[in-house]
Amino acid sequence: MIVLVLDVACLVLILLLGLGLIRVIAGPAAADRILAIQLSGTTTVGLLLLLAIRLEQPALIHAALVFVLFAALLALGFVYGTEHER
Amino acid sequence: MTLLDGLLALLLLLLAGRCVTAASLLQAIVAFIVLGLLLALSWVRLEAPDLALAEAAIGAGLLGVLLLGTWRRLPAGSGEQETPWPWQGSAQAIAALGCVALAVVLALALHETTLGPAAAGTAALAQLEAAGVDQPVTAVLLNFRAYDTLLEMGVLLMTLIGTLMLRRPLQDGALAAPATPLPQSLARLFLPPILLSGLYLVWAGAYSPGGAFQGGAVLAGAGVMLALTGLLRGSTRDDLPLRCLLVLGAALFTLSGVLLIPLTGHFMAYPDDLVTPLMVLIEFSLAISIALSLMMLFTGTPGLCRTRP
Repeated sequence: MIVLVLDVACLVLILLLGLGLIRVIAGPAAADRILAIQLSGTTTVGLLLLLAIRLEQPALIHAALVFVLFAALLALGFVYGTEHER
Repeated sequence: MTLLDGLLALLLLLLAGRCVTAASLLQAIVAFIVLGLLLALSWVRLEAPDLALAEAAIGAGLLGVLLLGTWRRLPAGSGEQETPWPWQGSAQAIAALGCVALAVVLALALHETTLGPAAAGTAALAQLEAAGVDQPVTAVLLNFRAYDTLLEMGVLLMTLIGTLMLRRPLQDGALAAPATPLPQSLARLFLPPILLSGLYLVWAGAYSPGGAFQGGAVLAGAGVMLALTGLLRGSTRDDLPLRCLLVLGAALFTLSGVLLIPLTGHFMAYPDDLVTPLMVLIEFSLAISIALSLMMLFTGTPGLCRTRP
């Protein structure tokens, strides 16, 4: 039962990841795309945490942790770049 | 799960195509970063959590920040030309046909290949007791195939030297002055957890996925954050202690390999009672060198200095 619930949750998350790609591809502003990265990052973290339980690989939590840390860095890296707006 | 894998593969293809056909550089960079996220998920599904972690830290994370930093310093308007897709010219068509042909041949070759017994992997797993660490990947990287890892450190150093020679360093003040105190406070708040996570990942390499490269990349991320928020900046002055730290990993690795020859009789063989502390020592020194190299690839300067408030 729990396996089924986890599988369905993973599927929903990957579908949401796919939906988020609309903003990655369509934009239109640069900030939309960066926010879409943040959204995809959060979704990936959720997927990794679910997969860590589903596949019984606790090490995936490490990968989720790394994604959380770098998501903040990516936002910083972009914020310091808006002096020439594109 | 099959459905998940299918969707993952579909999204991967879509994003990979988007990476090479995007109209502007920023769009390509964004697609590349999201591709990194999905690649990490694919490695998870392929039961390679080590690679997932490396992809998370280096592929999607640090490389993404590096690319965004590069994009930011390009003069406005460069790399923005619209390119019609896909059939722009016969050269592209020939290249595309070649790629498709190669893919078909590779798929055929993969289909025809019969997997033999993985002799090297079995031997490595059988010898894991002697490696000094519990994680097979770390054992292979630092012990069984230590020579490869040493040469990789050399490659990283050569990359840094090449970059420093070719790249125009970011002069002081090249970063936009922060208009609000918010990012700096964020950086101060974020620094301890990032450093802690990086060190933990290096340490965790002994018994679970992790290790010098992944941990080093996270530590480098902490440095990049300081550089981005202006708390730390590149300096054009040569810095001897910094250079010592840059070669620390490779030097310690080589030294421990050479100095133990009288005891073991082989280059890069470790005596049984010393192997665990040596592995940890080498792992941490490698992580320090990797973190500093990656960070200086970002600033592009031979030195670093603190910004006095």
